[in-house]
Amino acid sequence: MNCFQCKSRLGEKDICHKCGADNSMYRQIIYTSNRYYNAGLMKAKARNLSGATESLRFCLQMNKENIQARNLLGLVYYEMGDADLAVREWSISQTIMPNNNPAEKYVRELIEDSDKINTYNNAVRIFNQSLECIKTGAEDIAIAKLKKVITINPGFLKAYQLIALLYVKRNEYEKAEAVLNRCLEADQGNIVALTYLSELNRAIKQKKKKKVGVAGKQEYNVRGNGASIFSSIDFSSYIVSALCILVGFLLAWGVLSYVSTPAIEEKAAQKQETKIQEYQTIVSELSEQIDRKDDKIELLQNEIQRLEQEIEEIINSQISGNIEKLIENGVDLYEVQNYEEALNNFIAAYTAKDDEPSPVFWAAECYRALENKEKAIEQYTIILTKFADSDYFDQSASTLAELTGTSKEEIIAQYQ
Amino acid sequence: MINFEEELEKFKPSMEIGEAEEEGKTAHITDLTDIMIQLMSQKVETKGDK
Repeated sequence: MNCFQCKSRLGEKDICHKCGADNSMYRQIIYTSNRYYNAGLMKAKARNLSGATESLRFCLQMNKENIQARNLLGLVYYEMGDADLAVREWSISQTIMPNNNPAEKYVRELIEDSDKINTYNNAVRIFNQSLECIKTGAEDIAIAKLKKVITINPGFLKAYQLIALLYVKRNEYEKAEAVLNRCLEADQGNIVALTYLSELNRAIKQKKKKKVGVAGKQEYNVRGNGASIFSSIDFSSYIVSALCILVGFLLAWGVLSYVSTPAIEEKAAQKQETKIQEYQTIVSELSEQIDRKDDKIELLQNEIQRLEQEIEEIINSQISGNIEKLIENGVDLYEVQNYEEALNNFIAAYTAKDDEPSPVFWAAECYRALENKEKAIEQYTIILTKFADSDYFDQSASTLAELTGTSKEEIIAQYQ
Repeated sequence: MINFEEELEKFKPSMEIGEAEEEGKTAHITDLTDIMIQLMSQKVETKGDK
C-alpha cells in the first residue's frame, strides 16, 4: 500500500516515513474496499450477479482505483447483458491504469468483433423501442420486440424483467413466472426478478383460493342440501392441522428470535455507534467552521472599526479645512469692510466648530463695525467666559471696557 | 401488488457501446479517499489560518 499523500510505499506503520502523513484512516478505507471486493468476487462466483454488482460498486465508492474490482464489475455487467455498462467500467479502468490492464483486452476484443457489437447495439435499439411502445400503450408490440431482444441477446436480463412486468400487468402469471425463472437462472440474486416472483406467487395463491371458494360453492349447490356439506368436512383433521401449524409457527418464531435477537441487537448497536461517530465528526467539522467564521467576523469588525476611524479623521480634517477657509474669507471680507458677509462666514465657522475662539472674536468685531453694540458685547463676553486662555482675551477685555464704559482692570477681574 | 407504472419508471433506455466507451473516458469519479484527502487538507488550511 502506498501513502495517499506522497505515494511512497508504506510499511506496517500508518505514519509515512517520507512525508509524515497519517495513513490510518486511508488504510481503513482501502481495507474495507478490499473486503467488499472479496464479497463481490464470491457472489459473482456463486452467480449472484446483482449481489456482486452491489458489493463491487460499494467497493469502488470507497476506492475508485481498485482496478481488479472495476474490471470484475465490467465482467459482471457483461454477463448480465449490460455490455454498455461493462464498456463504461473498462474505459474508466483504462483511464486510471493505462498500462498492463486486462480491461484493454476486454474492450479491444469486444470492439474488434463487429458482429458482436452490431448484435448488441441492435438489441439495445429494439429494447429502447419497446420502452417507447409501452409508453404509447402498444404492449403487444413491446412484448414481441422484447422477445426479439432475448433471441438476439439471451443475456439481456433487463429484457426478461420488462417482459415479465408486462405479463404481470396482463394477468398472464404463468408466462411471467417462466420468464422470471429464466432470469434467475442467469442471476440468482436478481432483486427485481425475486421481487416480481414473490408478488406473483402471492397473486397466484389468491387466485387459487378464489377458485377453491367457487368450487366449494358449486359443490354445495349440486348437493342442494345445506346440512349435508358439514358431513363432508372432517373437522378433527382441520383442528389437528391448525394446531400443528400453530405449534410449528411458535417454535420457529422462538428459535428465530433466540438466534437472531442478539445478532440484531449487536448490529443495531454497531449501527448506532457508527451513526454517533458520523454525527460527532459532522459536529466537530461544523464547530471548526464556526470557529473560522468567528475569526473572520472579528477581523471584519476590526476592519470596520479602523475604517470608521479613518472616515472620522477625514471628515474632521475636511471640516477643519473648511472652517479655516471660512475664517480666512471672513477676515478678507472684514478688511474690505464687507462686514455683513464677513459676519456670515464667522457665524458659519462657529456653528461648525464651537471650540474655536477666532470666529467668535471676529464676529464681535463685525457687530461692532455694524454698530450692533448689544451683539458685540455678547460675543466679547463669550470670549472672556469661554476662551479666557486664548490670545483674544486681552483685546476683547479692552474693547468690552470701551463699549460698556468700565475699566479694563474691572472687566479682567470679573472674568479671570 | 406490483405497481406497473412505478416499476416501468425504473427501466431506462440502454446506451450503445460507442457512447458508453466515450462516457467512461470522460467520467469524473469521486470516492471516499478523495473526500478524506479533501477534509484533511481543509483541516491543515484551518490550522494554518489560525
